[in-house]
Amino acid sequence: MWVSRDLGITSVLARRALFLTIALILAVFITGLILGVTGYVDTIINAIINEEVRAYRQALIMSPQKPNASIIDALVNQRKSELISYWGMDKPWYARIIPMALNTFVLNLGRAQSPEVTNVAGLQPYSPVVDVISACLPRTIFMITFAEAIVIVIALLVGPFVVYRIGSLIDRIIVAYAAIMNAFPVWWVGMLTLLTLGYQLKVAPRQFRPVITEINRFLSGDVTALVGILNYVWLPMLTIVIVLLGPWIYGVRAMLIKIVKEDFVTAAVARGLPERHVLRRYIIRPSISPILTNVLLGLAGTLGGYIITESVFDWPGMGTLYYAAITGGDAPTILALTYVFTLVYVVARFILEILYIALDPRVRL
Amino acid sequence: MSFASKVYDSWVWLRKEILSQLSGKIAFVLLLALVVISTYAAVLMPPDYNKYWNVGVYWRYNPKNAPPEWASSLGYLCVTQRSYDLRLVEPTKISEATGRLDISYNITYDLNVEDYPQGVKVGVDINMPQGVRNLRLVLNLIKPDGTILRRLIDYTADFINTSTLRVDFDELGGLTTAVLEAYRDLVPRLDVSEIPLRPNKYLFGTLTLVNNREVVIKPLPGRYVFNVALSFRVDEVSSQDILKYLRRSQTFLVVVVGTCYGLMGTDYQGRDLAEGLFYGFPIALVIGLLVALIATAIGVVAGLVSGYYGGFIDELIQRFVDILGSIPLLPILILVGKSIQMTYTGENKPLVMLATIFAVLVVFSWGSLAIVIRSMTLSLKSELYVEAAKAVGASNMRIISKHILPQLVPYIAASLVYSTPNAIITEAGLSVLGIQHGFPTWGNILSEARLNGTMTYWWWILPPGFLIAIVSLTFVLLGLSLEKVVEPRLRR
Repeated sequence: MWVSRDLGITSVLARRALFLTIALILAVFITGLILGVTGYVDTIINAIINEEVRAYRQALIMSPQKPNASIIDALVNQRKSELISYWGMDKPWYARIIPMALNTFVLNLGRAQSPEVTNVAGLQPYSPVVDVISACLPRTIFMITFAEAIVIVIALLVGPFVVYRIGSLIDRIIVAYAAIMNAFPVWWVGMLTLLTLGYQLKVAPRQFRPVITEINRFLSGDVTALVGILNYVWLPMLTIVIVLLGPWIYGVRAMLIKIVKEDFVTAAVARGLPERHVLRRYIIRPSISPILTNVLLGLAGTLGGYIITESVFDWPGMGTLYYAAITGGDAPTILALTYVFTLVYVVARFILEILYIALDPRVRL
Repeated sequence: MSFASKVYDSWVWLRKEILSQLSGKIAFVLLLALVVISTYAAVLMPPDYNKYWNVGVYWRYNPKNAPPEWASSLGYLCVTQRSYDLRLVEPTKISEATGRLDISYNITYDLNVEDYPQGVKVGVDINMPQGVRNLRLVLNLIKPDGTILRRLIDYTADFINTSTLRVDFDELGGLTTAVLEAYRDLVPRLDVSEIPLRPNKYLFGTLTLVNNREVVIKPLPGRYVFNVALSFRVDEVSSQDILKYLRRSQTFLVVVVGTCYGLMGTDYQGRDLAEGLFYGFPIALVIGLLVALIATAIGVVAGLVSGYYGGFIDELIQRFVDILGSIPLLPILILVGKSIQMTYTGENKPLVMLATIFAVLVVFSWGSLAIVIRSMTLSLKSELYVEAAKAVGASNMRIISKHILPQLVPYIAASLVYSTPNAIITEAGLSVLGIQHGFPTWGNILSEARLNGTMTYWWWILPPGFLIAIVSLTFVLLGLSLEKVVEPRLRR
């Protein structure tokens, strides 16, 4: 990193904040650009308008007044132009998408346009995007973020244990397990557990949308709903833990191993310091920065990084919501979700910058 | 030493180091197998294979959703698939009269499990010599219990304006009449509307009246005889002539569609999964290697430029990498893929979609390598021999290619190896979501299983996933052994 000594900590952080903000703005604008330039949103909105116009014409023809053809045409055309101006289709795409993107930044997220999006959230059609996201966010946290947290805790406990036993049987098993699990996509193992435990053995649920009611009950204060949530959550969580555990332990092991082989560790061991003390003071302390980086970025990535896995389980969280928004051409929801995904990631990176300074005295020099 | 020979030496050394480890040996064998199979598949693959793959007619003689044949050892009731090429079968009866000519074939099918075949299909694509006026084709079936279903097919074609006849009998039009005729005494109890819906039950089952109230149908194992009778109206054409033409026809086929198929089974359209998986090899490897190669090349160049020249260009590249690294890749990728899928209407859509996904993957995957290469370059740049080369007036290009690049080879190789499976898995993941480009990739086969099958068709879900995993595993193992080369501290 290009850091002049005389800049000082505050200006270093200010620079980071600036670039992270630029990244945030770019992410949302690139998303808007893709939606606009490819004509994707226009295609979907035109289809909606045509469908409504067709339904309206049908209703007029079937109405008891039996209006004649020219009156029907006039009414239908009037309805069509109303719809076109309602959806803003009389303006070019940038006149719609750019204000929408700007509104996203000030958290004026608008309303969800696609019924499938509100369906994933379990809300009425055209609900505000804020409500839709705040309905789905806890479901992803309950499942994916928790699963990743469990993995991290286990990896941080097992990693230091194996780092003293490099080359032993248990170490070889862990490396082999990590290599194999690194090769399997989480979503495919999800299909596999769903196939075996869900469909063949019938011990796990096959539909996961009903978890919505359980989580809603829990959030409104009913603690007994936890049992219901567990009933749904254990299969996807188990899948994620099985797949991610290997690479995570391997990662922690690799980070610690570099330190273990350093001379100062050998010297500490040679001096006869107790193993726990060496581990805490001489091994964990220097490797805390890379470990923290992986932990924080890993947790931040759980919101938008498991779209395919959520979709395989049809888990009504942020990933399924994002895919529903894309298939439904729901621009406000897509922009808002991109904003949330990037924001969480960027904030995590900024927190890391602060932690680096707090943890590594060299940066403060 | 020239640049090329220096890189070659470093490759020879790398290969020796990799092969000295167990993971390296396994990876090497797997890689060799992958390359051989891919090359073989690429050579065999018909040019428009994705069109074949997506046209259902091409697969019409295959059973649908059928497990592989070896599934019988897992307890599946497997009804054998039999396909009778009548071009090669000797007619059982030939009779000639003036202006008339009858040829009939009898073929036998042994049903040896308590289940129904999926159906019977007949395909005809024949040419007739001058003088043949018309042809009546009749299919009869004699069941093991002696019941005869007559005129399951009764089709007449005339050859007045044409000499060819091309017709496929996917359904047996005369089945209802044949059943009603054969089981005359059961007619009051038969559910006539069910006959065309479950034709295989009536073709291969035994009908019994239980308690004088309802008809129970059970599979009837034994020897079935299909009788294909052709009667021609001809003007002075001999039976030998006609037989000669029949033997030269494009298609003249009777198929008893089984319930198990081939090595890998079939999907909902009857497509042979073994074939799709086989042709998926080169596509997967090309996707993975192409993305990895391009991304690695960009990363190396950007890292070298950034580290070697420094200054404004360094700042620019580093900030760019920083910003790219903060934008979530997967959502953008899904968005781009879906947008192109929904809006692009031009030609070569599968190729355009794949290329777009490629491009996005490349744009987002070179950053981390560029950072590594930059920091390595920075430290190499201050080495004494680089300073010395500079002092004697070596050009920048010479220093980079002679003194810096060869030292980076292990890192570049590691990056190449690690990004290959990423691209394959990401492409497969997009397919599973429903962003399908049409090529028979492993991801595509998986996605069809998810969208069109139920989750119980294990033969449809397991093999593509395992193949993806084996390819990834190859590169992961290769990476593991490279890691020990790059980071000697990892060794015992």
